[in-house]
This record gives sequence, structure tokens and C-alpha cells, in this order.
Amino acid sequence: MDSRIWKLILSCLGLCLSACQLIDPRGFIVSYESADQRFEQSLSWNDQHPHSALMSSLENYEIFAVSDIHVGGTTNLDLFLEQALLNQPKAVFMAGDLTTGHAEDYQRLYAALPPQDSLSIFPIPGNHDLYFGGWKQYRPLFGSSVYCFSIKTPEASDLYICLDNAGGTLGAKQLEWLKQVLLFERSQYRYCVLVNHNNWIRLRRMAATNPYVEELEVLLDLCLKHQVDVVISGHDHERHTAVFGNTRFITLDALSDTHPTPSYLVLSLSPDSISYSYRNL
Amino acid sequence: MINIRKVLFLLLLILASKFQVKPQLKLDYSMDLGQSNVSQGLYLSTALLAAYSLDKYTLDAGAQFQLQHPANKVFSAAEFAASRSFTIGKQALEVEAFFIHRNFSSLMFLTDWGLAVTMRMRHWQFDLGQDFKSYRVRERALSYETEGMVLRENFNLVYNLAYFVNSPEQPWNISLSLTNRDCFLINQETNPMLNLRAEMQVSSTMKVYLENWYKLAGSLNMSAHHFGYFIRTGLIWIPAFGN
Repeated sequence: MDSRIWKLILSCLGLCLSACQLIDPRGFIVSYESADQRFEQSLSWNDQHPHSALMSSLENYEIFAVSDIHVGGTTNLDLFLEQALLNQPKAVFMAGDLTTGHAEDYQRLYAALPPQDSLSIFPIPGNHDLYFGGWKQYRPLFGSSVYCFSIKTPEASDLYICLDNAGGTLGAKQLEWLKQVLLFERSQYRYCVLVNHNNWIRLRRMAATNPYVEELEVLLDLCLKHQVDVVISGHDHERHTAVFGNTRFITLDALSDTHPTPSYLVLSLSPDSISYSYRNL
Repeated sequence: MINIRKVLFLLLLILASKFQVKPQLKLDYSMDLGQSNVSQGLYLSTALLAAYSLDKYTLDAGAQFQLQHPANKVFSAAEFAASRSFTIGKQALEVEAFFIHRNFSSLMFLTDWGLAVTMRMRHWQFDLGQDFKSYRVRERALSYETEGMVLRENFNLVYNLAYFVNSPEQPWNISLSLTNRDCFLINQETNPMLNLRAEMQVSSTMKVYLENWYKLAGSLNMSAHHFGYFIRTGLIWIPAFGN
């Protein structure tokens, strides 16, 4: 076919998708705010709303994690929340791509979430949550995209660090903060779990972006140096795991209504070990 | 290891004796000054690349040294490559095998090997290849009772699309390229970098160049964020050799 016809078809397709607000082409070139700006706003929110430690009366406890819900639809999210309310994990992580970035989807997501005292939910943004200026919707609802908290058992305490790499990078300031947290706080805890959206390791070919090699080198080195136990990510929409040093990298299935095999992660922590399983919806 | 050295030496000897042509040596010295999200301010590095060409064959070797960088590793990377040029019809092509070693940390390192084909035309250059990365834990980290020693990222696309203002014979040129490959580093295929390069022949044996690199993270996630920027300036010297 003539190359001009191809160009015309692609241009029309791009215009249609853009007009339907399915994609935000501006994001190819520039973000609405920088990673450093989101980090600073998050830290300022954390200062005013510090996380208190969660308590577990038992030594063994579970946490759940989901990713890539992509509200619009909330069928799978509702199913998952039913199971979470029934099982009462100590924490539920939502590892990014909660929405499509539109204000109405943020409102739909927020309406679907159970009351705060019934389930401890820890959201972080993904790249889709930043589309169409989505950070301006995320911030009033969830406040922060970078934070850490602990879960205390009778004998030990575990550290959970939630990171914002929705833009394909942590940014200079967040990376520095992470280094400081690991350097000064990691040794006080038994286990250390990191949660972020973009999966670090490119174990299969995918169109979506992972962190730059230079950033990945720094992150892997930090995990080795500070004995990070688990890194939970989404983004890839397909489950896979890898081990590097003593760190297990767990990538989650998507929970979106259109995903053929939606599942969530169950992380079981005990004094001897951390084990994990994927539970299909 | 000794056997490999012997084989390499023999291969070089055979190559040298087979072709009754002038060999050519090319030395490329460069300095990088830049900033990235992992550099904690400005970083400064220097590199030396040497290329030895004989007829259609070229062997490349180079090393990079960090002069100012938070990783605190002076020797930061090495690259080796072997290439052969040939023609299909009237189009000149070059096929290349390469190996990169990145010496980032005292606990781990990265190896990357692959193949690439380069097609240079009057105003355009296209490079296409595949690389295979391995992140490896060093033995020093074994005291941590390490479980996983290596992480592999296989079949990563290597590409370079460049436009040149002038044809290669001209004494100066300006080019703009979109690529995921730099000296000593190949990024994932979804992390393209922009490079604006100007070069000038200052004498029959010497060329100077200036490159501006911009790195954008997350652009293919449609959530583009600044990652880094650096300037590279360098000198290419092709001494009269083998006369």
C-alpha cells in the first residue's frame, strides 16, 4: 500500500483515540508535573498525615496486592474487595494504574473502596493514573504517592516502602530519599518490602517502559546492599517472578475487567520466611 | 583463557597475512559531562576507544572511566566489538558483534552482548540488532547467602535512526539520531535517547565532535519524565599506520 495512505490511516487513528480520550499524546513528550514535584508534594502530605504502625497480634500475617485495575469498570475490583474484606489481610497494596487518569474514573474508584477502618489500603499511582493531568485527581483523594510504614508483630517489625515510579523513573529526590530510608531504617526491621508500579526487570518483551539501565543498576545494588526481601510491581499485566541476590521481584497480573486471568497476590509473612501465591478471581 | 588468547592471536595473524592491504588504526578519546536522576548532581567521565581495521574487518576495544560519579568506581565500563563490512547490490552494510561489561558496583556487574547491522546512506543511517543483558551478583555478595546469582533480559531490540545533514565525504556534518545505544550502554528498547551531534574534520588525520544527549524516561508509557542530559566532546585521530 502507498506509504501516504498508511500515514493517513495512522494519523486518523491517533486523532480518533485522542478525541475519544483513550490516549493522552502529550505524555509522549512531557509530563504534567515532574517526578520530583510529586515526591515533594507527597512528603509534605506525609508530614501532615504520618502513617502509624499497623499491629498484628500474630507472628504470621498476610498482605494482599493488586495492580492495573484500570477503572472504568469495577467488576473485578468489587470481587477482589469482597475477598479482602472476608480475609482481612493486614494491608492491601494497589500498585498503580488504578484508573485511566480521568476525574470520573477516580471518583468511581473511590466510591468502590470500602470504609478506611474496614481495610488498610495503600495506593500508589501508575502511568495511566497520570494521564490527562491525573495527579490532580489522585492527590486530593489519596494524598501521597511516596511513603513508608511498618507492621509490628509481637516479636518483630517489618518495613514497607511505597514508591512512585509511574513516570518510568523515581526521580533524583525520591531515589535519594529511598537511599536514606534504607541506610538508616532498614536495619531496624525484620523484612523489607518495596511496592511500585513499573516492573524493574524486563523478563519478557513488552511495549511498556521500564526504568533506565542506569537507574536499574542503582536499584538492584540498593536491594543487594540492604537486603530488600520483596519488590512488588505491576505494569506488565502478566505475572512473573525473578530472584536477584536475596530479593524476589514479583510482578502482578492486571485486575482490570478486560484482563483474561485477573488475580491478586497474597504475601504470607512468618518468622521463618516470606512466601507468596497468586490467587485467581 | 590461554587457549582463547592463542586462538585470537592466530586469527589476527591469519587476517593480517591474508589481506595485502593497509591496516588502519583509529583512536577516539571523549569526555562526558552531564546530569541524571541517579548521578546526584553533575557527573564527569572519560573514555578511550580504539579501532583496528584490516580490509573489511574491524576490531574495537574501549574503556570508560568515571572521574566524578556517586558509584565511586573509576573503571566503569569496557566494550569490545568485531565487525565486517560488505555490500548488497550497491548498499554498504556492516555487521557487528559486541560485548559490554559495566562495572557499576562492588556487589554486582552487568554484561551485555549482541549483534547489530548498520546501513549507512548519504543522509541516513539505520542500525538494527539484538542484545542480551545479564545482571550478575559478584562473589563478594555471596556472604549474604545469595539465592539468585543472575538476572537475564534477553532479546532486547537495539536501534539507531540517524539523519545527517551532509554526506559522509564532507568535512563537517550534523546529525540527529534516535537510539537506545550509546558507547558502553544499551538501554531497553522502550527507552529511546536523542542525540544531536556535530563533527568536523580539522586535519587529514583528525576530527573533533560534540554530542548532546537527552534521555527521557517513560515516554512509551505516555508519561514522559526527565531522566538525564549530557554533553560529550571528543577527538578522533587516525594516525598514518602500517606504511
